[in-house]
Amino acid sequence: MAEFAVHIKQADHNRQVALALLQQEPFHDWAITAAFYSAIHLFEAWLYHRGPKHSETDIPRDDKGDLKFSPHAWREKLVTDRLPRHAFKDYRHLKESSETARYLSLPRSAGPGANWTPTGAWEHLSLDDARRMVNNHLASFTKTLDLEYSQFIESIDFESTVGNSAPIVRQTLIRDYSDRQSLMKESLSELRRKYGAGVAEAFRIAAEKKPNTAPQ
Amino acid sequence: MSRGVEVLLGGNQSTAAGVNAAYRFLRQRSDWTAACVGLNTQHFLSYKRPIGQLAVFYSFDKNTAITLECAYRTTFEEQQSLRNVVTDFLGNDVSIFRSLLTEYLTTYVLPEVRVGREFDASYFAWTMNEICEAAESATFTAIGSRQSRGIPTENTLHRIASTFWRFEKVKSVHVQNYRSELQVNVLLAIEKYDHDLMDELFDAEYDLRTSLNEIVFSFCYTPVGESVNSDVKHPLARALFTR
Repeated sequence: MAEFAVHIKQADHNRQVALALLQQEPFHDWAITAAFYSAIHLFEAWLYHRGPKHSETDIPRDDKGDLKFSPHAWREKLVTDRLPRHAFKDYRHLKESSETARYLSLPRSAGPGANWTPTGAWEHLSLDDARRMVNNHLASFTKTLDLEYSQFIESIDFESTVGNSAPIVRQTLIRDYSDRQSLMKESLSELRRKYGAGVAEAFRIAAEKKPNTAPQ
Repeated sequence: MSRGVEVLLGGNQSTAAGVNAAYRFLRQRSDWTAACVGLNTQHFLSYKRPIGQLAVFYSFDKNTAITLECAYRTTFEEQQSLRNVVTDFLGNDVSIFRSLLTEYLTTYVLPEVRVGREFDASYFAWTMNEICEAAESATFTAIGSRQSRGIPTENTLHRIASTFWRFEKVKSVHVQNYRSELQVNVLLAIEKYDHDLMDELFDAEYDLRTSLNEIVFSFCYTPVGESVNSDVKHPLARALFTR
């Protein structure tokens, strides 16, 4: 678990690793794993302002307090429930191919002694496969999440104007506006009416520091 | 008449556990006329309105989501607007609360019910009066404990089997329970990653996940080539079909 900004940085870091590994055949199979872990951090960043905040702390527990589901399974449920089909498929391509690349077989699905693929991961998954995971599926997943708006909202210093309510304010603004452009169309007076003086003041201060970058 | 207000402790890493704790708390105090508890794992807002006194407890613990704290406590006069008190406290327009609490029902409570968690909020009075007009219909029946979660019905298993049967490259499908999730292990007769096949499989998987939304799945597609292995399944897994 990490804060929003750390998820963003880690996602970018992992993506850079993936891109670098694509240039290092036959180690391209590990590019897929790096890409998948980039996708996880992107999704966790997306989730950060949308309720659960961290998928792992959102996992329901049974009466004994034990987790009812594994973190990956619960995260996939969130991906299924909250993202469109094409984003779900991008995520699943990355996850499944990365697991195949790492394990070829998953221990949980077999008993001892099972014969699996006759090839290593770098042969089972071609360089083109790896490129498709990074350049298509990770890129598409990133585009769908559109974290630019979340990053913008995160950059506004609501803490200084609304205190402990800042997380709720961020959640609300991200839920109420689909992207930064739609938020920018709002006037400060309208934002004040909808969300209170503290929220409007935070935007005013942000716009004062960087004109035309926040509602004014 | 002024009356003391107790801190509502629903803090837990599980949203539902927090709500249930709050619910039990409220049930013991039926003389109080209105209550609203909620938000999510990290944000708890509790509001009780006994005669003549208001208390709002809000906490945000960004690290653990466990600690609740009393952020505000006051008494207010009969003529003072409840809305103003809360607005003063948070410095925000009350529409935030209205929208959040309404969304809370659909985003957090209903999904908990859908995944089978025992949840009975039939006496849960979502009446925030001037603050929130929403949600008096918040009646959710506890069905979870009477369902055998994690053990899908035969119809469900048949549906999973028939979904994958149409894929020629699928050699077998096994299912097994892990915690409360259903793991579906699909063995594929491929020796190279087949992107187009996987794309179709993920479409089928998505349809299963969305139509059987009460089940938390874990799908796994394992390449096994053309060889037939008798030991490819976990001893506890159940074969839906092999070929």
